[in-house]
Amino acid sequence: MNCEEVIDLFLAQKENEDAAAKAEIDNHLKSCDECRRKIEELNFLLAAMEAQPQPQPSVELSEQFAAYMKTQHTDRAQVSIVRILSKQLWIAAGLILIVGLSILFVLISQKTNQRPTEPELVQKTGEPENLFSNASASVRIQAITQIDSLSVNQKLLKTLSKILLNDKNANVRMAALYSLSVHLSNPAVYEVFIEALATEKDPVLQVLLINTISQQKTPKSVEAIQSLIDDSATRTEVRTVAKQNIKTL
Amino acid sequence: MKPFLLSLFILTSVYAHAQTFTQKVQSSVSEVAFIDLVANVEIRGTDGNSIMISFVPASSNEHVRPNSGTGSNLMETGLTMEKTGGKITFDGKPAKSTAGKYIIDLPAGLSVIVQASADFTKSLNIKGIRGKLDIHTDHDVEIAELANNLVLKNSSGHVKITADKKLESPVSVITESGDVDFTMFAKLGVTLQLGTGTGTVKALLSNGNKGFTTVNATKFYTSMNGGGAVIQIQSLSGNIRLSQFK
Repeated sequence: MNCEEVIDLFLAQKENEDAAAKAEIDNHLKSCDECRRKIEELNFLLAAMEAQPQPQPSVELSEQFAAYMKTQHTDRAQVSIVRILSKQLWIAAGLILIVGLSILFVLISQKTNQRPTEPELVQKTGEPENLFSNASASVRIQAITQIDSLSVNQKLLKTLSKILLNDKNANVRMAALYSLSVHLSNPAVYEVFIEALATEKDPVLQVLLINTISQQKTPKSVEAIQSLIDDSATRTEVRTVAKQNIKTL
Repeated sequence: MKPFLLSLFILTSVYAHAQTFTQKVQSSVSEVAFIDLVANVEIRGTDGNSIMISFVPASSNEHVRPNSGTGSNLMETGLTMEKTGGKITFDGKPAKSTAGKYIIDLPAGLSVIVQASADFTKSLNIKGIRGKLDIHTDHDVEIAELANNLVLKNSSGHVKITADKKLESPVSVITESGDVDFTMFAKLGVTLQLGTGTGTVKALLSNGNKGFTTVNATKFYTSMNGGGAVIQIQSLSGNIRLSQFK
């Protein structure tokens, strides 16, 4: 099955609720990111359309219809009223179509420009830890790098801090470090960086932490970096960077 | 003429000993892992629906075989194979390391994991894989046509990556002493976060028709072409070289 067929089949399957077709689509989606993205967008769009209120006839239209029912005495008169009614219905249908297309256009524009990312979903659902803990390293990194750093809430900051301190994958910790570094002026975040420098064992991450902490020219930064210099287990390269940075504090 | 015939004979002998295994991939499989393969490895994405693993020995009398591990023993290639959910794992541990080469063809859409401790998996070449890549090795790594998420951790190997023109996914690379060469399309939207402890970050950036601008620093953070794929590359003492192609 090719990608074009998948979209067609998906739309047909939505109508028919065909389990076999759904299984076929699911199989394709496992190996096709592009289709998965399109289906997600279609699902989003369909859900939004379903959420729209059902169009109701206007009061004027209802009254005209009632009047029509009462006054249908002759065939000639009936035909005349039905013609009027038909015209009204066409106008109403046209208006509904225009409004519907406008909503569709707005939704597609929003979806294209501002697709809800996993972190955004996290912010809405308030369940960040499940998302970050159950995914593979690459998905965790993708979620972290999609965070709009300037609009994170306290809960997400705490989650990122936990990742920086505890995630078993160094690449994931690095992503959290970059994301959190924007908030270094936040005292709680700064404390997390100090704690991370004391506990981090990966030399590459140690260098990144030193460079970040050095932006805060405080005695605490000096103390934290000096501890690393004094530690006999510290790698030579890390010690070199630490000494260069401590001179600037 | 004689040297030519001799070379032909040797090559024929070596390839005649190539050991091959083929596994059809069911649609429920989305990920393939290679753990501690004992030789150089070349992984190629294909349009097919099978995984084909060939072991080309360094010498005609060389054979590889698994000594332990779970799953089915694939005596042709010296690996064990295990399928769990949507993942197939091939394990070469703890067979003896060789100078031979694994050539692995697999469906391009699969995600690939390569994990190897220091004594295993020599050079690693990956080309044409459209799924996610998760790599942890200690030797040279070359990735061509990178099109999806990459998580790479390497200690001393040289890492060379060429990104696909439409790369949108994050790239995360950590090396200790190994250099990193990252090449990308000049018009690709990216957010770069590159840094090194005691090495140098060198960015050779296309400057439209005016040629190239060079940046030398220990870190280089910037957005290009409006931002996009987040590229995080960090090394302890290795150099990082960023270049673009038009």
